[in-house]
Amino acid sequence: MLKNVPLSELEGMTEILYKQPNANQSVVLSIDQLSNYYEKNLQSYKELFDYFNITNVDTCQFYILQMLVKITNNNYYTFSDEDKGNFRLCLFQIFDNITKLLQRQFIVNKFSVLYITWLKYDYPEKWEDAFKILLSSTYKDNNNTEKLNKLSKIYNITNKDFIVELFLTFDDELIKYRNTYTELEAKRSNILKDYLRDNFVKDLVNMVNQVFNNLSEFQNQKKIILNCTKVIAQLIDWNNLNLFGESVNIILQLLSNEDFQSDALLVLNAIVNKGTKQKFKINEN
Amino acid sequence: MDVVSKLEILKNLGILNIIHRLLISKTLNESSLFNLCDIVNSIGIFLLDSQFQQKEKSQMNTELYVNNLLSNIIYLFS
Repeated sequence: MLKNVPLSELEGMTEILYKQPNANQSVVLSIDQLSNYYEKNLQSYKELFDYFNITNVDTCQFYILQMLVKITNNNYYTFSDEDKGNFRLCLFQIFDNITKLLQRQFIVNKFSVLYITWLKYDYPEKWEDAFKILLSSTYKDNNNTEKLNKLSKIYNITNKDFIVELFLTFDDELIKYRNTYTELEAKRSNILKDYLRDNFVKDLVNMVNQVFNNLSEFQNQKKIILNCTKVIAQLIDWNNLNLFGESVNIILQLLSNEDFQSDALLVLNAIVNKGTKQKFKINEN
Repeated sequence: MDVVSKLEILKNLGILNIIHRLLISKTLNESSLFNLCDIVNSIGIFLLDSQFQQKEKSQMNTELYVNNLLSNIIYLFS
């Protein structure tokens, strides 16, 4: 029978698990037992989200997000509508504090996976504004730029940063490896892409262009420029090329900058290979 | 879209010209060069496919295939 293990014990266990290469087998067993308990308990997500917000231990936060991904995959179809609504609210609470998390890339990556895992089941039918709400957070005070104080500028940049990170994860989880998907995953991937193509991609490209048109504002934010470039390369694959004229013109200028050259070439590669069918790949004969 | 039209579009968009300039610039770092090779490889395959679309690829041996790939790339960027 599964037994409830207090989450406070998770902090010490994850520190050992991730930071000591030869972790004691008893720690591995204990953490397995704890995960089993929480992953099989439908209501445990609330406690996990609460503890995520309380703990300051990175490894513990990472592990909690991982458990929440498993809980979503195992239980999405058995969650009540009320639980689904609560789960989405919990995700937004983390997003509201994303500024604190962005310094720790591995946690942001895992949070992106959790968000996309949820969207895989939920979007657009049950959670139509999932992307638009994130995007609208970057519009705050955009018409009043000169009055932005330092903190809100950081908030604005941070949210843009997270959205492009999220889209890179979206591509990793739901598009890039489409040849390996199950029938259900392939169907969901197509539904999401079709809806995003018609309802969101244009706004996303506009947001990316805002970054590209204000490179001086982002001069210390090399990562966001690189990620915006990668996102454009990914979007070109499944969207109308006409959407990307402005972005591509700026990206071509980045070709002369060694820091951005390699990723700018990914955009050229995407344009060259757009619409290419598998038959054009070389086969050994 | 057939490969001939595709190459024509890439040429009209100025993409082939940009790739040509990058190829001769000799200023690329290793990672950029790797990505550029990917692009040139794709273009080479389009060229071959357009040239040999009437033939079975199985009729070509590897050496002929590579030689044609290289000569077509040189021709494209000359």
